Amino acid sequence: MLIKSKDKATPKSFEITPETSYWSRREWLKSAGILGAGLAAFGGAPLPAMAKDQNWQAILNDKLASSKKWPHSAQEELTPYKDVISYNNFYEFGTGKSDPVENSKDFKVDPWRVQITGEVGKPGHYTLEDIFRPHALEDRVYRFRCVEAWSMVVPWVGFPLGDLLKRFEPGSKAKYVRFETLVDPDRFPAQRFARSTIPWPYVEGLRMDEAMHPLTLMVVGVYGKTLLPQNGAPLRLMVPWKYGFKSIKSIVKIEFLEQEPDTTWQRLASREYGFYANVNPQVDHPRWSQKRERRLPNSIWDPNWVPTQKFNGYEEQVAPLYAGMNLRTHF
Amino acid sequence: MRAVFHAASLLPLLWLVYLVATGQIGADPAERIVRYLGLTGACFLWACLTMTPLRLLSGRSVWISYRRGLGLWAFFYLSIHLLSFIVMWAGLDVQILLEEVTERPYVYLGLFGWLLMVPLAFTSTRSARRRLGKSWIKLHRLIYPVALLGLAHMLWIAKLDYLQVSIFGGLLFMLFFCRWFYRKN
Repeated sequence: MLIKSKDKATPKSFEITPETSYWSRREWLKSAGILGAGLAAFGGAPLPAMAKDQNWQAILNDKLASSKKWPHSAQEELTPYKDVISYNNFYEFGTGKSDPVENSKDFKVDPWRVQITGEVGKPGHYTLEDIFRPHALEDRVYRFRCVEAWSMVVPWVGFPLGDLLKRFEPGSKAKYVRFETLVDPDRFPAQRFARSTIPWPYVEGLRMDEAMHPLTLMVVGVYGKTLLPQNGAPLRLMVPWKYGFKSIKSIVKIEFLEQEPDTTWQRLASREYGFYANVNPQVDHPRWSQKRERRLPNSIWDPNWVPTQKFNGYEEQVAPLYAGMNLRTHF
Repeated sequence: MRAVFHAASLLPLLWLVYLVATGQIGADPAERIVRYLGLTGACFLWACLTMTPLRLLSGRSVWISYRRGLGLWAFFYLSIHLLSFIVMWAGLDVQILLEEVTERPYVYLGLFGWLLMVPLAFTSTRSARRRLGKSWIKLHRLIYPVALLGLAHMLWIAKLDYLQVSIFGGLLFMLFFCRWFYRKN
């Protein structure tokens, strides 16, 4: 269970590529991709990080094959796979709903590291293998409610975030967890524009008890398959009782903090998007109603409105987290 | 020339029909269709407003001959925009419609703008123009509040992509400036 085992899991210092040579390596790999792959296949010594990075996919495939069905899944009809992977909000790929599927074709996960930092016993840069190897995966069908008043029902595959966080031994001062999405204009085209509407990186956060709640899932797959880039590959959160924007995608940094972190949407419009962002039909968005949602896919003949449930239907499990809090002011 | 103009104006609608017919409209067709028609209508409205400044700048009156057509196409697209909102987006649900109209500024601003366009569309014929004389020009100045309402409507639904609103706002400002400048001189 010890994850910082010196021999295997931890990237050795020589394996952590400095940013500058990382960029040049990516350029070089582009021009000599086939050669590079060939070298790696021969046990290529020049690319240890790449060889290691390729392991995670094989391990993940095994884990996906042996994932267990979670007994508390939502019983509603599933949103078809094709809609789950083609109707997305992921502004790193563009603001249109079909931008993520169209602009993520060349997205490569490797190399990927997750930095663990802040008030934590075991900080460091971890590989994907380090992140998910000790965890058994579960298939969980969750309702997914976007702040824009549409929703889906999606079978995610993942493991409780809390189990992961505990392995890093959060300190007593760790009251909040802050997450960051990758910044890489090479892989996220919308980050290329100088005049971008979002200050990258995308930042989200949870209170410690929210992060440790058994419903909060670290997702690595969907519909039994590896997560696609448009859904937030290789690692994303799923916090089913909160609006979708809280469930940050393509995570590269997890920071343990004493203070509540500033999150991206709060910074963009604090009057409209709060830190908690719990799904709540009684608290409207200042410009539109949150009383109901369009369950997707719908058709031109029927928008398929369904009533929105408090905490997205997870009230029984999560309401105690907010006992005594005014959800109208802490929206 | 006239036939080409009208055929070209129909293309955005045909494109939308093509997207729906071939199943490329996405998981939330109502939302996409309503937004698409609204944006198309706004483009026609803005194009319509551009004709007078173009005449002033170029000194050629040919532009004015397209003004009525553009205005009517704007009215056409904004009418089916409203219709698709009622039928597809709200699913003809009276309660949803009532709530949206009374509580949501973006809905009543847009609706008010569309209502102001109705008399303009109905008095767009040559005979109506002749009949109304000077008051026709006064009446048709309503197009300016219509454009401003359209802009507010756009601003109200923008989540983050204020680029579109800024472009429309910037253009409108330039058009107004152009008219003001020529009137002054």
